[in-house]
Amino acid sequence: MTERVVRCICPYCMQEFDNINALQNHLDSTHTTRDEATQVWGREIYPLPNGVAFIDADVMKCIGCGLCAEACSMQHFGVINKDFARIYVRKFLLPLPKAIVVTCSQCQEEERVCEKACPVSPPAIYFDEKTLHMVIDKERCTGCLLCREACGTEAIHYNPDISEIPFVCDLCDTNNTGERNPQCVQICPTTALYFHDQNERGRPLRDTFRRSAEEKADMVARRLYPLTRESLAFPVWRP
Amino acid sequence: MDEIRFKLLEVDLSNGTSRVLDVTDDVKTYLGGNGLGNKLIWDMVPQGVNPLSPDNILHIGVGPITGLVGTKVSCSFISPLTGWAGESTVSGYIGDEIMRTGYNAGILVRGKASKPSYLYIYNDKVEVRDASDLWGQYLVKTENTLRDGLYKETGQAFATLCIGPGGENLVRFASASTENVHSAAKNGIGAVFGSKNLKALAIKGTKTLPYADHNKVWQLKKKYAMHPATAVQKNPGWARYGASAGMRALLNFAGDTIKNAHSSWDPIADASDHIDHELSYRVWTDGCPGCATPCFMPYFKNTSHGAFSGELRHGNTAGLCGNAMMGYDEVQEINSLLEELGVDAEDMQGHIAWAMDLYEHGIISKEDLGGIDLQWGDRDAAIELLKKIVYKEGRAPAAIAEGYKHAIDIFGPEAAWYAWHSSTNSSIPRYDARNKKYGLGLNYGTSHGGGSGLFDSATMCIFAALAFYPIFGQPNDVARTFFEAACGWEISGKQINDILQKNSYLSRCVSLRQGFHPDKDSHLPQRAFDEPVTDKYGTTWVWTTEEWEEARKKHYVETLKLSERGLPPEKELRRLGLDFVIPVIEPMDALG
Repeated sequence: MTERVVRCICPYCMQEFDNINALQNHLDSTHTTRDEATQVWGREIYPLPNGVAFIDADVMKCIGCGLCAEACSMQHFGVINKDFARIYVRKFLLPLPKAIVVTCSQCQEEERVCEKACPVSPPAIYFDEKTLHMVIDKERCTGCLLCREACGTEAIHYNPDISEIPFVCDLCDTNNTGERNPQCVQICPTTALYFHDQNERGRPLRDTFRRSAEEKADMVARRLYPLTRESLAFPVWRP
Repeated sequence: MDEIRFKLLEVDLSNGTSRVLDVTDDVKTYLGGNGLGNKLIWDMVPQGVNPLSPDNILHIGVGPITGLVGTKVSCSFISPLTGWAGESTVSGYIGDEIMRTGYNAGILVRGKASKPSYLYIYNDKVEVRDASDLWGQYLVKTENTLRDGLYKETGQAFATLCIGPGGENLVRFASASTENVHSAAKNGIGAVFGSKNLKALAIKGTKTLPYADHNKVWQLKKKYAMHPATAVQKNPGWARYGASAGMRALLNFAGDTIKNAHSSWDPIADASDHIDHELSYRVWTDGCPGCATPCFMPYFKNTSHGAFSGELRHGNTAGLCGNAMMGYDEVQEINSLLEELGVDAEDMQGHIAWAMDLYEHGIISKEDLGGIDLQWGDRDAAIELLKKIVYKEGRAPAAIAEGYKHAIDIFGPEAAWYAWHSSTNSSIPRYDARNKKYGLGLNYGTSHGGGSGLFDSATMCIFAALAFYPIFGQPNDVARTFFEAACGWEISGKQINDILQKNSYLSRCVSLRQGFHPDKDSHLPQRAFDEPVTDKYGTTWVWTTEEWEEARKKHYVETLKLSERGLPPEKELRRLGLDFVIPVIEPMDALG
């Protein structure tokens, strides 16, 4: 038997603990809230909560085929139309063409601006703690679209052609029974989409998480420094 | 269930009006894309039309299964490069968006706008809008300005098909591009856009496609995307190297043209390869809507003398490497300008190599070239020449911009021997015409430039379809499977063969009506008989006249089902219901 020699030090405040459980308790109690005194950079923008499931979209792997959006509309409405989907792919020219995929990230309670923006009480758009995904209550939703305006990632969609109320990613649990089986993740041919369920974290989170398409595109465009969106070359080819 | 109707949007730029035509019967007879396009040309374009006149039409063609097996858009028009039938295909989002506007038989553009314009199509809303501020801009700026403006206006990401200065200045091999780097390149489609004062098409549709059975279509798509064959297609090289994997695949086997086709192997070209290129410069992989086997590998390189980006594909853009004696490094840099100017890369590399050859042999002088000292492999000189050709500055560049046949008239008959061009007046970039094993000599020597066959009429993408073969069978079977799901049509194997045969004949008849005749036009350049080429391992390739005549006859009769002279047989025309072409082509001695 080898003796365990790992020292249990909190990475945020450098306090040392006797065992790993004590460190875990310390982390859970001290470094999870957002008040000024104990706020730690990183934790609030990369939340790693327990018991949350969501679809992780890796923009660099996305090829822009749009099969995810078609799978989504097929699952929820029975027709193939990307505009009826809860996940969307938008093509940017950076100036090279790049497809950016965005979907709802099933945010933490503090970050759930859609829920806070809902004028109905209790909110018609809410996170179902049992089934672990966002739900829009068809009965109570008034279709005011304040949630859609509030969401910074443009993850809430509204299309009057198919539905009077907006729709949001429900992880393909259409009847809200807790059977989550995202069709977009199944069909994605490049594994750009990955389903993190509450038990399995097979892939590290990335900094494109909880960003809008524009923000993601800006981040990707940095790879093309110093190109501008005006020309395929730098110095710029000009007439 | 209601039968699917096919709608064609007809836009007249002369007066800015548009109307929607029901062409369901024509689509059933000719399928979509180039098949329907040739029928429209036959009906609407007067015989012997000047390709750059307002009487020429431009059919941006999609078909019943566009978006299922690739999103090819097959454009049909009378080609400014040859004066015969012209066809040009482009991938990207544009096909998908056209389908989703509901115009599932494509868009027909007629007439000529009085001032620079772009065509705005957002579902049922069709407008001809002013594009004076975009005219003269390079392609990337045009497209991004247009897309950003329309996104602010409508909140939708439009697909655009634009021309650059090449099309505006009516260069005969100008292209039209979408997403900056997907080009409809061949046969001078850009010049047709330019002659109509049409800077761009901007299209967005949000409608649901009227598939006969959505569930059936979805099961097919799902099967394709999740099938192991797709993964096999994707994994070993395709996803990593894309179409650039073939950059130098034929170099050792006398398939590539080096130094304006005087040679077939060269150490500079041999030292460049796609693995270096991809590992060093590929930024990500990009594909078309609905395609799980993406082949688009954009590159980006940042050097001390500038940053360059774009895409190299085998032969098309990388061909400049061998033909004008440069390495891929130089080609990447030239290519980024070539895309911006909107000219066909294949034709441009052939013309630059030809100009270098003529300059070396004293047929054109430094003054003709506007002061450029055009040595083999000189990157800066090639860039200068490229700009001069597009803006038609100087005697030689202006002549080159009109294509080989016109330029030979200007430069004199001694220039003709150096011109390495196919019967359709465009360069032979690779698949060397002399090489009977890897080459495409028969195609280069007998083609008339118009589209024919399944991929043009059914708007299938050959690269996407590669993965379909192990899943759904041969190309015709792939198309039939998808026709059945998407339209509810039960087409037998014989029926689809007849449709394709009919489209092939009709395309040739359009060319024949425009003055093409195999007796005078279908031949290889003289050098294919005079100048042998030897591959790296010592095999020598060249045609003898008898051999060529025999091979050509065999190609006509067995492959193209034509008469020995390369003319459509009357009996077959009548059997396939093309009686209406006979009175027109019979007086031209064009009936087999």
